[in-house]
Amino acid sequence: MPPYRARDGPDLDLSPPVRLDLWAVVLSAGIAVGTVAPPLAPVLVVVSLLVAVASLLRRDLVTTEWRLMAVLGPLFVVVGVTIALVHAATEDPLAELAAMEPGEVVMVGRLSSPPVPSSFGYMADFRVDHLWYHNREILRGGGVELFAGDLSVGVGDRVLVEGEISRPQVGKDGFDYGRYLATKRISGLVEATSIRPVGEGRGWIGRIHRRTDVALGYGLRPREAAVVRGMVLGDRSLMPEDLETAFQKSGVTHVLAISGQHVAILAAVIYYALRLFAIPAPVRAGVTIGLVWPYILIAGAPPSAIRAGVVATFVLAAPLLGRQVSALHFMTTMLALVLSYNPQLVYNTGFQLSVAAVFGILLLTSPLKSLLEKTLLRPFTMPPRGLSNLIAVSLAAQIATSPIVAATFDQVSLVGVLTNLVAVPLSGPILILGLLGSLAGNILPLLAYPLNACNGFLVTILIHVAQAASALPFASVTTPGVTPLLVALFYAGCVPTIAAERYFSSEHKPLWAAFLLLWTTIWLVLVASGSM
Amino acid sequence: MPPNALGRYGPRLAVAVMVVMVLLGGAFYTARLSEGTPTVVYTASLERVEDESQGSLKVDINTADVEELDELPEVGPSTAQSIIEYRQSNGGFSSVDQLEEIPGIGPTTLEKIEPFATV
Repeated sequence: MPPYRARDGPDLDLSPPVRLDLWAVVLSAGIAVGTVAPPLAPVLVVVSLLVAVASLLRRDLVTTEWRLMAVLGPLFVVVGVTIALVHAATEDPLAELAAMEPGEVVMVGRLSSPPVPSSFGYMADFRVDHLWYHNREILRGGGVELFAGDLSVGVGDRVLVEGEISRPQVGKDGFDYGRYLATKRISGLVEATSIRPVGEGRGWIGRIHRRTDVALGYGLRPREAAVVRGMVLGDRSLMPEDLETAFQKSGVTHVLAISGQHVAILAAVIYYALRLFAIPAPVRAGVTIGLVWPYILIAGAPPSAIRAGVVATFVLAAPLLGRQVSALHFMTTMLALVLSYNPQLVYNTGFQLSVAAVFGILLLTSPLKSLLEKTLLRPFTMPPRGLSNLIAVSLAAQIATSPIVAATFDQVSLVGVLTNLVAVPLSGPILILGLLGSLAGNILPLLAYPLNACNGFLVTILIHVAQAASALPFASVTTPGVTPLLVALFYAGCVPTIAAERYFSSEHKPLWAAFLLLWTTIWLVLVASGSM
Repeated sequence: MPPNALGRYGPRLAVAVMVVMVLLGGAFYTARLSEGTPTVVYTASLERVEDESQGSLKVDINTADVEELDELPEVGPSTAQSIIEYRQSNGGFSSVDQLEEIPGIGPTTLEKIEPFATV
């Protein structure tokens, strides 16, 4: 929405500002409620209608600047709910076929994720172009999760698959595998008996993955190369299990997933490198956007990277279009955009963590920073700004993601705040050196050795930090049985700190931040002890 | 709202309506019309498809009749007839790749046919 802006000159506009900033939040709420709890959607519509009517009848109920937002609220809610219903009402013939468990099918299509080890050999996401049943083509489109004893193909490779199709089941631990796969637009499982490339076979993304593997082999040991591979391509298929566990327990797994952090680092490096060559701003922004999106595709386009890509595009395009850069507004707009495309993402843990981390950083960093400066960093007459920012950002992301981590993985890292102080600053150089090493290795292997050697040193530090931290006695706490209600309760407890940041004196910020830390501790202790 | 609200808020209302229309249209396209959405290309009971199926997945393009050739991906009755005419005038196919010489069969179609055809 166009922000209110007073213009200079004789035609000075003194009319009160009009704010529609909440449109994306309201629309996203409509999509989320329409997807997760459709029976509650009419309640949300009625509430928004009541607010709209009340704001029209009682002029003192809503301030002038927010009145139009209140009046338009029902429009955004209804559209959000409609979007959710449009998606929910779409028939999925592939899921229906899988539910019938008809036996063997033949498919031609492309792998859309790197193969990773599973209980049944390897598994990968597969986009179906054509599906035949008994020599008759019956379906086109959709996606399945492919399981095979050996999957020596890569992302983007076009293959012919023969195998048995079935429906994903709910696990004994209650994990709804079907719902998880639906967040990736996947409708069934196929246990493949034969997979072979067809046509041109090898896709360009798979070729890049394979070439990256070779390039990272120049001067990096397999364990280090596996970490760099995870950070550069988001492909953790070669990560040793003990290292995966160490990263998880020490709270630094996020550096291995292609997340907003990766996209932000890459976008910043490209943008500022172009600025060094005095490239004009519009070209800089265009080139950066043009390079970031192919990288997201190469990395398998996980929801967290798409989220970050959308926000990066907004941030880079805003100045060109004469818009103000507002991180919070861009985040909510991204949420509305991405959820309109795929409402099932509300169930995707990666997406939830990514969104929670960014909102946590945007809303909680400031009060936490003021608390740090009043307590931990008080002995410093001039506390280093970088250090207080780093600790506050790490803490904010950790707090905001804790309930989701607890509910999903039944385990929360307690040392994560400390390990991230090392892992986050290291992840930037490792990513950049990894990308440069991959490029150099493909052009001239000799060039890759010095880059990979430098990277090997940084990765070794990261691995040692993760392993040492995970070995500590209270590195993590187990949090069994965390329900969505408990997660909602936690976030409700964060509201006063967020509100205090905006509505109370800045002198009280440290106090509210202390309340937030106390609330987080109490919540974790209660869920870890099983009292909640 | 003041009496001249429509005039004052007109541009904002227009943008709001445009934004929701774009999002709604995008959602409809993604859910119903996009290439990635699963679509049925042949409707029948599984039993019927099974009954109709041939013993082998491969169709011998040197011996198959129009109906059998018609079951190859992207091959309709007219293309099937062209395949038979080519076979009759050239004495059969020495390889599946030779199908590319048939009008209407390009590299993309051949790629889809190859897994199911044999000589």
